[in-house]
Amino acid sequence: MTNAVVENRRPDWELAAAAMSPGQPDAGREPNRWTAFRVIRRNGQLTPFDPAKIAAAMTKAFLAVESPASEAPAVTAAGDSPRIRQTVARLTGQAVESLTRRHPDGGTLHIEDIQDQVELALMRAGEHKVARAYVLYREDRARLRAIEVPSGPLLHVTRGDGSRQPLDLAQLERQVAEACVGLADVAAADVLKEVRRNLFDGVGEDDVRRSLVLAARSLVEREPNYTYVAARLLLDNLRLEALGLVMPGGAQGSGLTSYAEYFPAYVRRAVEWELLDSRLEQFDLELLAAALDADADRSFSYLGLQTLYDRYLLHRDERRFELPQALFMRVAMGLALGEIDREARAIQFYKLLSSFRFMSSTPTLFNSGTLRPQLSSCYLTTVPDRLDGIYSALRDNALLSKFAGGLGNDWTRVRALGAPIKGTNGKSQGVVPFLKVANDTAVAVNQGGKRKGAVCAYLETWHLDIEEFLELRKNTGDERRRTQDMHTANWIPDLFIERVLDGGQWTLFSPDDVPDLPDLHGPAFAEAYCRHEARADRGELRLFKRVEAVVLWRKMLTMLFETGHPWLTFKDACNLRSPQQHAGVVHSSNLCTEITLNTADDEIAVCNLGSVNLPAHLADGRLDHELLHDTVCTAMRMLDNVIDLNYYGVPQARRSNLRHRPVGLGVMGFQDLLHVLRVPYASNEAVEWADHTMEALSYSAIQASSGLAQERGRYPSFEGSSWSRGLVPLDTIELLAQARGGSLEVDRSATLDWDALRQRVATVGMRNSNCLAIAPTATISNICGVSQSTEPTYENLYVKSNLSGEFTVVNPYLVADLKQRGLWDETMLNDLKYFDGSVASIERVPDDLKRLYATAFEIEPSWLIEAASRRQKWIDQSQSLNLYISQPSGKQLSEMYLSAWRKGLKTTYYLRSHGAAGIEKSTLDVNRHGIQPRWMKSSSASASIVPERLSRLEAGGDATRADVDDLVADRARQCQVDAECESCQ
Amino acid sequence: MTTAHSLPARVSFARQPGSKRLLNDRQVAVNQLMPLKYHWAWEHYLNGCQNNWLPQEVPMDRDLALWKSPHGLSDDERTVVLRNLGFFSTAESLVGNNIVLAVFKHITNPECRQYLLRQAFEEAIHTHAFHYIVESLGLDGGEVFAMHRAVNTIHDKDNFTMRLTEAVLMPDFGTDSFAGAQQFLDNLIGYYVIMEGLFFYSGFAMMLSLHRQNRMTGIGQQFQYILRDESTHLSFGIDLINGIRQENPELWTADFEQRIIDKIDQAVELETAYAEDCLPRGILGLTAGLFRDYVRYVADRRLERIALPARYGCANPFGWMSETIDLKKEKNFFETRVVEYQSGGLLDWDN
Repeated sequence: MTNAVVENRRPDWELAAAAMSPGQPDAGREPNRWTAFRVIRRNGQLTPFDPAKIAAAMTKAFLAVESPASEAPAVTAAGDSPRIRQTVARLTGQAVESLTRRHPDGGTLHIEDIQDQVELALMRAGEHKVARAYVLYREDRARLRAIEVPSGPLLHVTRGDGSRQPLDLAQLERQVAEACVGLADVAAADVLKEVRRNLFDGVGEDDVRRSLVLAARSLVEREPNYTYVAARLLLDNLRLEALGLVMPGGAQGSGLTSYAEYFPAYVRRAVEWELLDSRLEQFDLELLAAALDADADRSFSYLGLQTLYDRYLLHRDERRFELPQALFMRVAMGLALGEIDREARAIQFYKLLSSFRFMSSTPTLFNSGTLRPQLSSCYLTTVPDRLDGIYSALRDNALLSKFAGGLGNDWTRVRALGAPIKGTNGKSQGVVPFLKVANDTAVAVNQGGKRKGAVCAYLETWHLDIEEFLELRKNTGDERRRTQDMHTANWIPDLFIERVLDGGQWTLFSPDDVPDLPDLHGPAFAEAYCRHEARADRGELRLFKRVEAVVLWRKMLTMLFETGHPWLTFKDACNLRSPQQHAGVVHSSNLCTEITLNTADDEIAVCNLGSVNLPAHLADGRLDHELLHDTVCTAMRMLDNVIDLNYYGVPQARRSNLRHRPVGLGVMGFQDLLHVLRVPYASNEAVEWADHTMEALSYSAIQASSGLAQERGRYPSFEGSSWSRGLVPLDTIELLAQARGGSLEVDRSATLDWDALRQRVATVGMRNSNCLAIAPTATISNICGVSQSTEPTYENLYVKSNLSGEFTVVNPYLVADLKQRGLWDETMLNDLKYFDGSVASIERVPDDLKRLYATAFEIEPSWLIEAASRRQKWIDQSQSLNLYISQPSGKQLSEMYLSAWRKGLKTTYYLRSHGAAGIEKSTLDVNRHGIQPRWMKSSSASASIVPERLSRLEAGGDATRADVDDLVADRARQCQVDAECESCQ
Repeated sequence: MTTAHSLPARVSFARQPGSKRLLNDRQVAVNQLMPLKYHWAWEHYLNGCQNNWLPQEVPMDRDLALWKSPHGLSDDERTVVLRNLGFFSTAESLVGNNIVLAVFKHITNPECRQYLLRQAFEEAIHTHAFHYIVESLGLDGGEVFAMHRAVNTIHDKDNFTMRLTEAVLMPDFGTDSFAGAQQFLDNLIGYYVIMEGLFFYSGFAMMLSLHRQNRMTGIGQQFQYILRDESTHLSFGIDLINGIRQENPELWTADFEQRIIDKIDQAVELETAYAEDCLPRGILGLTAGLFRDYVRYVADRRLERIALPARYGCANPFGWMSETIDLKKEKNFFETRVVEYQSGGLLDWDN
């Protein structure tokens, strides 16, 4: 097809060659012929393609060979030699033809390719000496460039208005150097080198700023401290953006503008733009501004600051104008609006947030102090078995998720497929089509663009539609019966687990036949359930199904393994240990399975969350109880304030929240705490730490709530609660044990003076029906730069992937230990990548470090469950507990979840497993580890192949691994003839 | 393969796995999978099945918003996206065609065929993915899917591989002859090592470079899925090529080896030209010059995997690929769909 084109562009080489010869009549028109071609220079600059330049360089080479002494002007000399001129013209023609052959319509030629072709043309023509001179000339130039490169404005920057100006490298250097101040093992030069690689001539102004951050980011895997360099570079960009908007005309971006000047202006602007509550303006802004700690901005990790930047900081038309300390103060002010001494309280709250000792949940950070302060994380609802009720529940979902609340919906009451519908004399389609509507509602309402709507549907294990429910997240089958955007969870009664253990049968009912079951638990449930089974046996029920309990159990686990859903949560443990049994029934948990509150047709449960940063409360290897108590008291006050300040999307939520006032204080950074203490997660010592940190937190939280009751009054539904009977969470274990009849294996030891607290709670009362819940802290732990919740290390080197993008995370504790033992080098980094962040298979890592840095998949699940069981002693709600499985063993899965039940856990969250085959690693020498990928178990003919460079070494005798690395590095250095391969610089 | 439609004279039901061969196996008219000989082929098949995914699982709403936003992407960035969609949309189908029309006929070993069928399906999924992207972003499907005709560097790459398919489709082609067997090996190397192992990789790097900046993340995620599949395709192809060579060492003559090296040289040129075509100017983090090194870097690894010495000696200029490709991902379940899950069918309830 390209024939015609080829004909058209066949050049006249004589003319081309003539072009470099001065005085020729054709020279003037020659450049036009090549306008379709451009040359990329080494600095990224684009210039017109001009064969005359090729000819000139070639002529120099000829002259260097033929008259070595002559330093005379080349062109004149060439003009004097018709032979050289003709040869040069011919060879130029050949080089030009090879270069342009594959670009009939023009295109871009790389300077290196051009020089390669010239060399080739010279060699082919047998001009070896000249070729050699040419190569020497290239090398010479390369050396010169290597010396010159760091200085001089080689690149231009395109500004916002389209104008170009030379890139100010010195300014970049200053900025990067400043970002590196005070950080060990980071080098500004390394960042700058990477920056230069990312830039090209004409690069946009904003792109230059972004490239600084990108460059620092790409070094994080080598040295964890680069995360702070990247964060500070991002902070520079943020300051520029924010100050430009809040204080136009001020000293933008320079370090000169202080928070003291900026903060009052920021509040006034935000109120003026109707983004903040005007009451914030009435605070003593100068006083608050003086309390802001600008240095705290420098303690963010890159992940933390980028997260704030992308989604938390207030913006106007996508331009951020809120700086991090202003965010924390804005949140604190929002939470202090109802306080008498609001400035003092705001500063107290601010200090807690700014120091990362405690972090409010995401909705509070998003919305506190704004015109729509929806500050709660979680809502729980129950859906009735009536069409209007179902749709009003969906409407509630939409209104509640609009401002970043997560939802848990109990769907157990909705009748099953095939159940009769009185009004139409038809049959129901069951619960699944409604779940699809709920799914689509979640997609449609995306939390103000900040994150996707988030809903979890709960169904009890005896519901006749349960088998279809299990498959809702499969990626095959009828999409109309799938809910890919919604989470699902099983609400499992104890009786089902007992039937599984006994090898018994299990009966599925349509809820309209058994309307009493959703509200029953414990022995009363078992009794009613057996009565309904008897009805079915007698033929009194038209609609039911009997299955082997263990078959259903395995299907539950299989789906959990395959799709990550539905999660397993235990109805009886949630209800029997609830302090609010006198006031209703827990029908489900929430989106993250840590909230266990009552719901009813007229009650939507609400929970406000916040988490304490555990490692921030360590002192000399011990828990600083006093500091923890201080943190918890302030935190509980903030959480309690939320209840009165909160914007409620629907009245049932407001009503329930003001009646019971539940809050959920949790923890984060447990794995970091263990690292600081040098305790392996898989150890009794870690279990003890889990136990006593939670005991201390629980004790302080209950004490604080009781203190708030004294100051502000008890929560309205307090009378009759287990608190009012002097029961603390530890005491409710007995209620569960009695119902279980002996199959509960929970430690009940305690170390603090609980008797005193029991008395105080019973007499003074509580401000909050529930105080404790361990949330996943997926995002706020990133902001604080600590490990999530109570999660073990996922991998020692991995990528966190979320709405803000992907972030390399390397375990800084491991790197510090390896550095100390002289083991942190390029090979170790590559091995760590090759083994997907696990140190278990790396021979050079000593055994004590392997134990300390075992990853979530390597830790026996029993350790995670035992630690969770100990925590559950002290928690009046539940915890978002992820479990991990490394091998696809159904038996192991079953044992794991049965053990979770036996150990008294109320709920479990995700099951995580590894993918089957991976991706070929791109930045390390995989062939060194073998031609077959690591995940392959069967050997193929490829297994016997050893790359030539390695076998050569082996043949040479005692080659070590380091030799191999050197060889690889050597290769990279030798690259190309002119040592100009950009990758090795 | 004239016997393909009639039963061989004697069917041994107790066939020894040792008698199976990768090329020119005569006893295959009934597709007797068991007993397995080439366990690696079966394992690749299982891995492929476990990594099942469908394009619709990836939400494209953020991509659409960015694509429609007037300042979301620069013109150069749009070119990069369109060119790569253009290349991949047809390249995947070429690979599928070659498997079904050329490779499947001559690789008669049942466990390998099992994988080939799986791979062919995955190629269809990948083509589907590009269709899905085009539909989701409201692009001109005609333009994207016809780009191989309009853009020379795509045309050149496609041509290079199509010629390999044509040779095997000649009516008198057979792997019985020495030349035929060599030609077939040539085809395998052309498709697995060059097409899937080299021609795809500049595109991967370009698309993932946007992903790294948290832009066009839906497309980025599709490419991550595809790259995962391609890693297995490549591994299978390499095992097949090395296996055939092991069983038929006489095929791998010095001449043949030189032919392969020349082909790879040529492919490196074509791929470099393609990258230059996609990047007439730079975009942040990517310039054509860097691709020159990158393509050579990838080519070296491919050479080594078929037991040839590395010949270019370049390092990967894109250190950031560590983050987008090499490291294991932990997703925030709240925000993104998790890709790690595998099929539950292989759960073992007894051990």
